[in-house]
Amino acid sequence: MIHKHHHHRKQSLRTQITKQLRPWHRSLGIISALFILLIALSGMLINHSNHLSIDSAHVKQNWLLDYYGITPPAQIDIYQTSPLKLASSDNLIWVDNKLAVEADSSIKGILSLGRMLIAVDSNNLYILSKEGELLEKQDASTGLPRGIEAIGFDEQVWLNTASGSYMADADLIEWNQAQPFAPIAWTVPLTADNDEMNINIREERDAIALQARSSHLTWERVLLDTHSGRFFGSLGPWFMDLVALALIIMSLSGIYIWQQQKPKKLRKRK
Amino acid sequence: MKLSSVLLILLTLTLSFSAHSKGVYQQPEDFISQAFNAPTPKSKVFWIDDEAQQVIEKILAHKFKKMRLRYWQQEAETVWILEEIGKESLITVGIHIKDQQIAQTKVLIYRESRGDEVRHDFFTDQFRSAKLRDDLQLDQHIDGITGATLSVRALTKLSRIALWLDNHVTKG
Repeated sequence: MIHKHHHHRKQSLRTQITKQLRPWHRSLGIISALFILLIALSGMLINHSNHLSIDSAHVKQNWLLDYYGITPPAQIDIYQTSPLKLASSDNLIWVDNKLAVEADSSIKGILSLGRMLIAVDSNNLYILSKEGELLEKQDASTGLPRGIEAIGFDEQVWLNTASGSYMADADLIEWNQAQPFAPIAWTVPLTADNDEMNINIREERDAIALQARSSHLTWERVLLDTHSGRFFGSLGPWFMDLVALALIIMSLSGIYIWQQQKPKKLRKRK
Repeated sequence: MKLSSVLLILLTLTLSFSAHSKGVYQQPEDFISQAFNAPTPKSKVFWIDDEAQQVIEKILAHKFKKMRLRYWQQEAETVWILEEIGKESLITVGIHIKDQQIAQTKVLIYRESRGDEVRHDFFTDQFRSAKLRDDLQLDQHIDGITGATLSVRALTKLSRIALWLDNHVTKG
């Protein structure tokens, strides 16, 4: 008798706990459901980000770039719009709207020469294919003069530097200081000559500005920040911790509730 | 302060930091003059022929588009400045070869956001006196670094290429 009574008490205590747990379990579940979905979905996407090319997909949404505080480049120059679009934004070289090279410093000029493109920053020269592949990089160690200010072409490639003009040989291997017979037409970016041109260049410039900004942010970054909560501000990660904690509590309470119900069902079956 | 503004400030800081975190550990010029213990000699040009193209692409395991490479030579010593992508960005590596053995492999410019442990001497010292075997592998084992696997791989590949190129230009 005593044993039976004790068993009863134990049983009712468990029912009591289950009764207490169930509303908690339910409300925690409802409140955190949206965030758990967010964490689970973003987690799945992050797991396969390489396979789904999310790690190489750049964010092109202006509002999202603004939200991340990514500012447009300070200097955008368009050198040519056809047949190939050549442009630079600060230290980036763009060939047909594709990022070709990340130079060491601001681009001083881009020249199209035969099947090659030649770009310069103050201390480096970059030889690119028309597809935008970097074929060669020259610097002081290969004999390139320092302090380059401009690049131009007059039978040979010329460089204007702080210490005078330099002329290359036909293979662009050696640079020799030289005095041009006639003034060199140094490559300069396109400017707005008339209204029609103006609109076209402005559009191209906007396109490059967006490209340059978007090169700083991939969707993988956004997903990682969403997953960790960082996207929602500095308290975001703490909030996501609370969601995780809710998920832990729910797993435990879920198992407890399920265990309490199991014997009942078994009894019913009997 | 609003949460979003805190986030913006943090992000701007990270972005501006990452934009300047590019590590230039040694200028290529300085590496060359240090290797030869003399002022940087005039660079030589190696035009990439079909054989070189095949070997380099085999070692890199991807296409190689360059038409020529610069190198610096002083008797039986050559120096090569080569670049390869670690994960996302190029790593510039200087390789000094003496008597067909690596005298020094050094990371000159590192642009990746992590994995730059490969620049330390404890790692690059492993390449010292490595030679190239006939199967284009190094004759000594290079221990990896957890978290810098791709950078380690890039350095190993470039060392193998430099050894092959050195063999090619000093032999001929």
